[in-house]
Formats: sequence, C-alpha cells, structure tokens
Amino acid sequence: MNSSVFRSFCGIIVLCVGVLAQEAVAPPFLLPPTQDAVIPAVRQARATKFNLRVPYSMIDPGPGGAPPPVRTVTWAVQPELPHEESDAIVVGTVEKIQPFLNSNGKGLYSEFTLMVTTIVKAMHFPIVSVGNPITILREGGVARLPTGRIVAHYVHGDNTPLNGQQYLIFLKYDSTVEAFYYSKFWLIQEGVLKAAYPDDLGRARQGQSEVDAKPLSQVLARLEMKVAEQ
Amino acid sequence: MLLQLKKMLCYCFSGVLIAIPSILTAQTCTLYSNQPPIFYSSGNVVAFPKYGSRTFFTGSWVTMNSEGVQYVYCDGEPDPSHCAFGGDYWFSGAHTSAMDSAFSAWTSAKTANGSNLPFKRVYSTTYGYEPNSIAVLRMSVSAMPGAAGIATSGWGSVDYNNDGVHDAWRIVDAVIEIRVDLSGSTLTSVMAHEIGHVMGLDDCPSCDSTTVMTYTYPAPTAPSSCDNAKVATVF
Repeated sequence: MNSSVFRSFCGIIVLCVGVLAQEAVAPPFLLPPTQDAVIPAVRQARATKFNLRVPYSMIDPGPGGAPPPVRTVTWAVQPELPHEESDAIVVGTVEKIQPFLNSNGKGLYSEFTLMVTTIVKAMHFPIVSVGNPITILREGGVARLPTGRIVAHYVHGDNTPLNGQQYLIFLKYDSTVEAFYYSKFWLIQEGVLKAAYPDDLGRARQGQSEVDAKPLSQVLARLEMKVAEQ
Repeated sequence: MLLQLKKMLCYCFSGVLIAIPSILTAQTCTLYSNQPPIFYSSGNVVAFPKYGSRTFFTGSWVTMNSEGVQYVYCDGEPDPSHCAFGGDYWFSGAHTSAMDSAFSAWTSAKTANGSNLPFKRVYSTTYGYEPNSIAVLRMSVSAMPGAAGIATSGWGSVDYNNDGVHDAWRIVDAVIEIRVDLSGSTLTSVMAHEIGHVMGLDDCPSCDSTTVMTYTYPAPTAPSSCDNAKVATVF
C-alpha cells in the first residue's frame, strides 16, 4: 500500500474513533437517591427551590406533541467584577455536572462540583477552602432518564460552566440549600480571562470590556485590592 | 470599455473598503442590517400568532386575538385566585404603571409591526392559563442572581386559515416573571424586552440601545422601527 494512502486511511480511522468517542459522551443519568450523599431534607429543599411556576413541563412534550415551553432569561446590568455583591469569589475547575429533577417534575436543575484552586473572597464561609470542592446550583440541565430517554431543560439567554473548564466565579450562598449560586463567571484559558456571561459577552463584542482578554493574575490583584477595601 | 471596467472594479473595491469597518463595528440597530434576530426554538418562531388565527385548546378551536393579548398581574403560584388582586398586592401602583407603559408601547406599535395585536390588562380572579394571555408574576427565583426578568412561553397548535388543519406551533400563552426591586424606566425597559420575546424577537447582545432586545443600558422602553420591521417578518 502506498504510504500516503496508508496515512490517509489511518487518519480516517482516528477521525472515526474520535467521532464515536464524542457520541459516547451521553448526558448523565439522574442520580438515584441511594447514591445521593446529600441528606434528604437538603435535597428536597434544592428540588423545591427550582420548581417552575408554569403550567406545562419544561422537559416533556405538551398536549398534542407541542415542544416543551421556551424559558428565556433577561439580565439586569451587573458590574464586570461584582465583588461587593458576592459572598465568595474563587478560581476553580468544574469537575462534575449532575442533573436533578425539580420536586414538581416540570424541569431540571444542575449541581456543579467546582474544585477550588484560589480564593479571592470567602471570609465568612469556612466551607470554601483551596483543594476542596464546593457545590453550585443552577436551573436547567440535560439528563438521561432510567429508560435511557434524554430530557433537557434549557434556559435561553443563560450560559452555564462546562465540565473540565477553569473559571473565575462570583458566588452567592443560600443556607436553605447549603450550596452556592453564581451571579457570573469568567472563563480562564491559558491564564487569560475570556467573557463567558451574556452581559460580558455584549461588552466584549462592543469593545467596552475592561476585563476580557486580561491576564488572570492582573485581574486577581485588582480584585484582591477591592475586596480588601470593602 | 476596459477603462470603464477598471473604474467599476475600483468603485466596488472602495465600497468594500468603506463597508468593512462599518460591518466590523456595526452596533447600531440599522434597518435590514443589524436588527435583533428572530427567536426560534425547536424550529418554531417564538411569537403569538397573528390576529384571527385559531388555536386548539382543551378540545376545541379558539380564535386568537379577537380582543388582543390579555395580561394580568399575579403574585406567585399559577393559581387563579392569586391573580389580579394579588398582583395589586405584590406590585405597587408605580410597578404596574411602569409595566403598563411597556404593554402600551407594544400596543401602539401593532400597525407598524404588522401584528395587529393590542395588549389589554384584565382584572380576573378566575384567570387561568388560557390562549392569548400573559400572566405577570413577581420573580422569586433568587437562585438566578442578576436576572431581571424571565419569560416562559407555551406552544399551541395554530390554524392560520380556519381549515381545521395544524399550520404551525406558535406561542399562545406566556408567564413573565419580573424582579420586584426594579422600578421606573428600568422596569419598563425590562418588560418591553420580555414582550419582545413573545413577539418573536431574540436577544441582541451586539446591538446598541436602538432595540428593546439590547443588553446595553439604558435600554429603550418602547419598540423601535428596527424592532417593528423585524417583528413584521413573522406576522
């Protein structure tokens, strides 16, 4: 066999394996209660927190096969680095995204496990420490039901962190669910911050961002100074 | 002949050179060039159907929009007893006035945007989720810090030409949750934006303040000519 033909053949095989491997990454199953490390009362509080006040299910077809309802979020104006409003500010990597069903069964919420690598602000939250994970909750998600059917609950206009990616993230704590929510995050790639949240993407596209494309170290120094002044 | 051709090419090239910077920096909502996109979901346009369409609801066809889209202020759970007067409780007169301004602005645009859809406030304690309606709720989702408004739209099978055959999925009812600590023109602009979603417009983060769908503040409190022209394409 000609060597260039052989190389092309190998290339196609590698490509096919890659495509198949990607397809094999299916959404996670809903977590069975027996495998849930969270105590039932807290789990119930989390599932109730994300109940939707809408007549139809976000994850099931409506009457007559109608598509699931469309949920769209609009953002209030936020500073690029909302340090004053945040209970905690950390740098970390998303290690796991686990979807759960809301308690009224109309939608999903997701639990993000973030491994903390740097703390900028968390003085009142001893649960936040370097080298340990924290739990962050967010409406929406994609899950596989025990039957294998994949269900999704999307929130149009919202961006969520991705598995394996590193972020600078601004958090609010909710003691009723013993977890954090995020008010915004910045993607970190090769030590540089990239706009990832809708309002920041808008600023970045319009050339009005003071944070986008800046080195993480520079922004962290600025943030630490502002937090110290608070 | 050759000279003319050269001149023509030169003009074209100059035109491209002039156009490139304006394309790269295009932020203004200019008719037919940088309007908010049409909002599609599951392949369907997220917009109320046009005046006179019918939708199939609980076993029979209901003619849409004969009295416009009705909206009611509610206080929370989707329980009819919480609407109208509950809304008066949770939203102050200043709140409802600011939100009414947004509905009025969209009503004023009904001819310009081709929808012929007026918005009419109703006071009904027996209100339920029905075709042709919007329930406005106080937002209590603290789980999404920074959110100003959330619109949830339900689909209905729509028959445009009264032949009893399904023509399209369109939005036939909606719930708009609004943050209760907003006020004044900010509240009006957020509501105008949410109504823009149920009129078929998507968010436009790259647009400036010449469209209600912008992410730039202060945002307009009424649909612009750009918004109306875009909405007209789905009605």
